[in-house]
Amino acid sequence: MRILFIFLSAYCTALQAQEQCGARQYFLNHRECGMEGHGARCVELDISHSIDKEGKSFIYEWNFGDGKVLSGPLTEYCYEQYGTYQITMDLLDPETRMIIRNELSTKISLLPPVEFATDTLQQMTAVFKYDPELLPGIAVEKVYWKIENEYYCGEQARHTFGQPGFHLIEIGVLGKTPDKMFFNGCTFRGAFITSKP
Amino acid sequence: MHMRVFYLGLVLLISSTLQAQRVPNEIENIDYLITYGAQADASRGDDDHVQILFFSIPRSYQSPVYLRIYDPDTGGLHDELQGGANTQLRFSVYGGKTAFSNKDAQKVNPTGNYNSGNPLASKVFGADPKLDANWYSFGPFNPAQGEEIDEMDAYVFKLIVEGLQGDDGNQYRCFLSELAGSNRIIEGANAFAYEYTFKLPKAKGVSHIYPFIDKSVISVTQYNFDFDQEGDILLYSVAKNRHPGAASNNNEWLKSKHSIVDSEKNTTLDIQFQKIKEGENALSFYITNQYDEAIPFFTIPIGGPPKYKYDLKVNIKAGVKK
Repeated sequence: MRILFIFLSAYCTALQAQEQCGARQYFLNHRECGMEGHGARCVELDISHSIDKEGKSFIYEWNFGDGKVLSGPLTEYCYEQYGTYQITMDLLDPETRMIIRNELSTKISLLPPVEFATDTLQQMTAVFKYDPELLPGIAVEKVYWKIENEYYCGEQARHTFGQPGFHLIEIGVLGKTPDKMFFNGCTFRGAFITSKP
Repeated sequence: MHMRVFYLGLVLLISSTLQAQRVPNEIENIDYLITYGAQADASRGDDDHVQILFFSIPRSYQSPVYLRIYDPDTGGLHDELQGGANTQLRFSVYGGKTAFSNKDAQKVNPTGNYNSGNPLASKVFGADPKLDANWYSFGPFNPAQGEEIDEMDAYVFKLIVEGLQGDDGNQYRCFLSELAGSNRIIEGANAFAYEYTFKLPKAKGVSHIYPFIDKSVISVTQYNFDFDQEGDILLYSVAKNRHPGAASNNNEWLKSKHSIVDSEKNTTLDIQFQKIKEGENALSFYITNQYDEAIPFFTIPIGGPPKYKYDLKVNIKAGVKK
């Protein structure tokens, strides 16, 4: 019982520390800092679960914002280029041929792939130090880390990995540019853990 | 009755920032109301030759108001003539106790004491070139001359338009205004009706009527007369993506009943008239709850037009579809 209590206490303290340092909130607010969306140019759109079966039958026509038009409640399209696109959906009434424009719309951002260095490590616990060369010219004020869904703050982060293999390390940076403008950006680093000790 | 007044009060409070004095309103995409002379055949689209409209003014507003009518005459432009112009209509403004609260005034047919309240002004219009495509102003009225409805925190006036004689159709618009000589909106005022007889735009398109569905409604029945099957009548809401309603043919009433789900309560319903043919068409419409009580519809939808809630899932993927 005492061991469990100590474990829970340590866990809660760690969580509290993460909350206080703001790293968790930073990554919640900056989802673009994740790898999700980077290097992907295809989008799947699905409204099949919200088709009103008692409603009139329509053809669902998607305008992907680059001139491409596809039909169907579930559709998929791969863009030629990365970028931000406004997607709209029109309804076509096959009986009356009426068109209801802009029934639904959403904006997506397809981010280009990011290159990052990967360190090969033989131990499960490692200390990562922020490398200023990752963002040249930025006077760093705050650094946030996200490793295996754990959050850290500061220029160093000590983490014990749960599993061997590849791990993506997300790094958020607040600082100043050379012309003293506010900087907020993200970068990545990889860690490959060869085996359990 | 008490419940109805209560929810009207609620929605008028919500809509206090809306400005809905043109009747019919642009957002309804209805150009004109229409009332036919007493001898006009019902197949023209008017079942009873009477139109009843209500105008509410916030109690906090204390300046004189005017009820302005566009093209009140029965000849010339904007009217539906059957041969020579031979029609007379009476426009009457009522206020005071029971003008709105009398149950007969809220029925869809002009029976009983529908002209309840104090008569404040009345004028009979025939063919009159001076008023053709022009405005006539009733008033000034002191807002306190309307019926004071505590639950709405408002004074309510009633306008009754009656086709007295003739067989022409008189198309007109109304505007509740601060001024006699021009249209100036009254902040927080509103307009509503329990039945409309109106003219659809000549062009193809979608017109709207916006009843507010209060929390006690579990089903609605929409009634339409003389739609001439010119397209579809659809029910649209946060939970209904254009459910087809019965659409009448020439000179007939048709109705359809539709259940109301929880997410639609305290929201506005959008009755859509999808007109797929070009040409003139007048029709009458009303909607009732499960107790056969008429539900008021507002010239500006309470809370804005409803938007069906799609569950859109967006999945960004690296893969390429074969």
